[in-house]
Amino acid sequence: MQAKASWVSVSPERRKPMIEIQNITKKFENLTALSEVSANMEEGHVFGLIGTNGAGKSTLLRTVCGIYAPDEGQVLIDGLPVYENPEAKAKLFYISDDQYFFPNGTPLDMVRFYQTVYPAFRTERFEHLMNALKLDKKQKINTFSKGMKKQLSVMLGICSGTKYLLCDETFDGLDPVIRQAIKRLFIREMEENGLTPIIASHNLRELEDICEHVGLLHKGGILFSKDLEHMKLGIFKLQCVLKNQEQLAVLEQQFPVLQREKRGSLFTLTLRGDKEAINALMQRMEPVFWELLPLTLEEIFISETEVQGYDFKELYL
Amino acid sequence: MTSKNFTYKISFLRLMRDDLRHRTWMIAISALASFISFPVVFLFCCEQLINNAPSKALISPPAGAETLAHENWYHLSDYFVASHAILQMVIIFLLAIILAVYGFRHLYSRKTADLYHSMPVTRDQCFLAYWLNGFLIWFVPFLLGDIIVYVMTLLFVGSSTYWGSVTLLFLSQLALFTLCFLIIYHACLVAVMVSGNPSNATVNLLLYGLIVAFAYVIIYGYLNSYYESFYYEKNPILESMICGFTPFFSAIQLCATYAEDTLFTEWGGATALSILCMILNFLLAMYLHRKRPSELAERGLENKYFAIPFRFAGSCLAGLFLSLLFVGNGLGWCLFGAIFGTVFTFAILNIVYHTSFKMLFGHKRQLGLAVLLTCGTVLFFTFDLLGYDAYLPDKEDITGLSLQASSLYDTGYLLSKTEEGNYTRISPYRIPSEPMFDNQEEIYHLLQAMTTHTTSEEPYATQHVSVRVYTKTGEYHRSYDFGLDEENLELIRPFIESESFQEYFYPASMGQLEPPTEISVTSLDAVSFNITDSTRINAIYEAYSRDFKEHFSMDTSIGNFNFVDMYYRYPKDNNGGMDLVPLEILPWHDNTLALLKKWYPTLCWTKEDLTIHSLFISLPPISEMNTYSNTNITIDDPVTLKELLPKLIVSKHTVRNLSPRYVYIGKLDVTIGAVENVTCFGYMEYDEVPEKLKEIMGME
Repeated sequence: MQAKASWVSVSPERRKPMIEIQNITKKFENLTALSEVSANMEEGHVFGLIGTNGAGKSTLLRTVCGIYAPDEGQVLIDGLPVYENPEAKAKLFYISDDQYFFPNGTPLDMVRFYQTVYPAFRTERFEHLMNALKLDKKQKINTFSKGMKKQLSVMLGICSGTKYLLCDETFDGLDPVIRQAIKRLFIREMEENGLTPIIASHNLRELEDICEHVGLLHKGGILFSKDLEHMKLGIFKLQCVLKNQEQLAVLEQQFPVLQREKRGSLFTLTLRGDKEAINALMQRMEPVFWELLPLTLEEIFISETEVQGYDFKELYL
Repeated sequence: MTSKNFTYKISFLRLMRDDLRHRTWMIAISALASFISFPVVFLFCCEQLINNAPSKALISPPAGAETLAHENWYHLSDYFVASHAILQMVIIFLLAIILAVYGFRHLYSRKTADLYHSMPVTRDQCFLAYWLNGFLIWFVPFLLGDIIVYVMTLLFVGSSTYWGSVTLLFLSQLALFTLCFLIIYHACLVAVMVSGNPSNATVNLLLYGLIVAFAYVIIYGYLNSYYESFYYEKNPILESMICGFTPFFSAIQLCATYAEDTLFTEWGGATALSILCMILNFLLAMYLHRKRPSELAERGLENKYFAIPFRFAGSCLAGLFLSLLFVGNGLGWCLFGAIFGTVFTFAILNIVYHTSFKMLFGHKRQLGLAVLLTCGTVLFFTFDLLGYDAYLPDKEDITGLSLQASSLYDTGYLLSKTEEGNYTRISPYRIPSEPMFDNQEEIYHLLQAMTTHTTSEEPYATQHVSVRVYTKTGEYHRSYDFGLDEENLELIRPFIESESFQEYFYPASMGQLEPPTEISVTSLDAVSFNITDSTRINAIYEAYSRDFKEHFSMDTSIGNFNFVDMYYRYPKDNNGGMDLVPLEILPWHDNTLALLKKWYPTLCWTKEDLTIHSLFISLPPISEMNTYSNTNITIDDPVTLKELLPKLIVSKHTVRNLSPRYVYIGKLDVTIGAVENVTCFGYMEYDEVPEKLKEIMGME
């Protein structure tokens, strides 16, 4: 994706954590929804928050946007604590998994409401987007389909003029065409207006092509939070037909093999190592066939969580 | 003005404006309610005034402009600030509750809580904006309605003399109702803030709005209705606090006391407390809103600081209330009521607070504690663990006593002297508000008897005597089921036969009033006539007074069998508005009867004028003798009836509180003069009932 290149152009040194989640714990009676969660979300990057149902994604998002007060720790937005701080909250827009619309309200009513609380709301942009997505701004929202409501939520969030957009299962219920359209919209807004989307989802595939940074939540704790590109840079899938067993031994000696699968004479190996070095080795060994492929997000997660000592299949799939 | 403040103001007003957009239906309801309760009701009131008092009609040509204005003003002012303002109070109650719940409805849904709590405004800003909107939605239509009525009143009253009073009345009414609204509104807000859903809020509204008054009623019921005590009864501080801290009660009380013109005098403390309570509730609601966790939405009541006391207060008081219902059935039933009431209410509150039937028997330790607390309270009172019932003031401290012994005599014509020297009719069940007796020995003797006697020992404990004891340290009250047997009657005798008792309860009989302008008499043969001749009036007035002074005693008092009816009539404006004083001419009023016989010899005046045809004996009053049989027998043998007649006491009506000294025999079919088949009632002194009759009635 072209747009993604521009995000990566920001060098890691220049990246500055804009949303800092510092050791937060949130309990609901006897249930610990979040336990000492820490993460940083950087400006200008899409942060994907992944986890199973009940992992604490929504709770984390609600805490980040100041709906929930953490029992311990704090959340800082551009250095400002978010809870009960309008200055910090003005930088955020939260799209919940089941967004509230006024009973019998129309999109225009919602615009009027958001204009009240977000003075920088871009009405013209909203109307433009509504036209583009063929949604009627005067139609009652309760006649909208689930997908149309999701689209409307995203439109409202994007046009609110906030710096951060927190989306909880936003792509859930959208058809593939609209999903892609919204992703493109996010990218455009990031380029033009410096929007930083934070997207929580239980579906890895939905986030794969849009997120740069991902955090995996499990049972209220964050297992890891890493740069996707960085993760992808160090892990590869090598499909090859080797001449003999010695070549396999050499490979395993040179690079840590995270996963190995054999179908007939075809080996599929997940390797950790430098891309150039693997390429160089394979060229030297001249196997019958070889191909170095990038990993899907799911494959990366499988290997990463296994490194953390979890069985990913039990944990996630 | 700093830029931050400026931003704050803008967003605050915007918040208000946006909130109002979503409350248009509330504005419509408020406007409609105001329209009905002000202009419509006002016109209705005026219409009634015109129809009911044509001579004082608002639109008819006035005999004197000032008189008309006064009448109009009198009726209208009464209508709008006194008991007639019920409609306004009902509207205030309903609107305050609806506005509080609906204004903060977003707290009850997770979706709306997410939306509102993620907005870049502080919760305090939100609270103030929605609070103010709620207030204005009620206040603006109310104000407009009030202004319309104000103008209409000025027009109707007409005279400019009353314009100042009208203005003052409407301003004070505005202030009073605003205060009432805020009292209820703020209490509702507190209940709303600690609740997670509307059903929960409703329960909490009732608990928070009424719990103090409910507690007071229960405790008062225990102390005064079922458990006897001489402890301090009138505690203005306690009553003020109860009034002040019970929002729903205090709002009504404010209006009532305002109507009685005691708002800033007798109830000044309560009024101040109500205002304080209103302010505290506002601050508490704001604090709770600020601290309210968003996750509380849809969850029921999760605020542990409120849940526990609410649960205990609701269930324990319900248990105590139910045990009161069983108090006459013995301790076992009493405890059953206490346990059942507590457990049932606790379970209901659990279901509501957790919005789950699974929590029917949740919080078992709390439930156990609540049951123990309720049963402990019941046992505490029943066994009088602190000597509550046995308490007696020191003899040296006693300064006086007033007594109410309405059960001794069947009368409904008690009069009381007012401070202005007029007489006004009072309830016969009211204890005089000032000491009637001061003999320490006699008082102490009576009090001792009252504390040592127990109701269960008394054979005729259906009648009671209430006393108020005055001591150097305060006032004590005791209402007691005091069995009126011979021994007890003798204890009361000095008080009943005292001059102060007779002066207090029988001013007309004692001749303390002016002679009436007219006397109405109904003879035994049901002939009614008026005596208008002043000579005769004075003669009867003096004779009746003389009879009373000569014959009134404990014994004649309890043998007060209605015989001949007589009324003293006075001009309406004299004697505190009392125009009719009912009296009875009993057989021992011989001077009075002699005069009547002399002046109206053709009419029937004494028992001798009766011819008894039959005596029907049926179920006698059970309260007097439980051993009586349910006999249905008619005696029409002239010989037997002739034998009975000398001992028979005849009354035209049944005696309400018959002393155990007397026995109700049965209905009599008599002829009085020319009037045949008249039903009268026959009584006898217990000791004089013939053996044969005792046998028939199963008295042996």
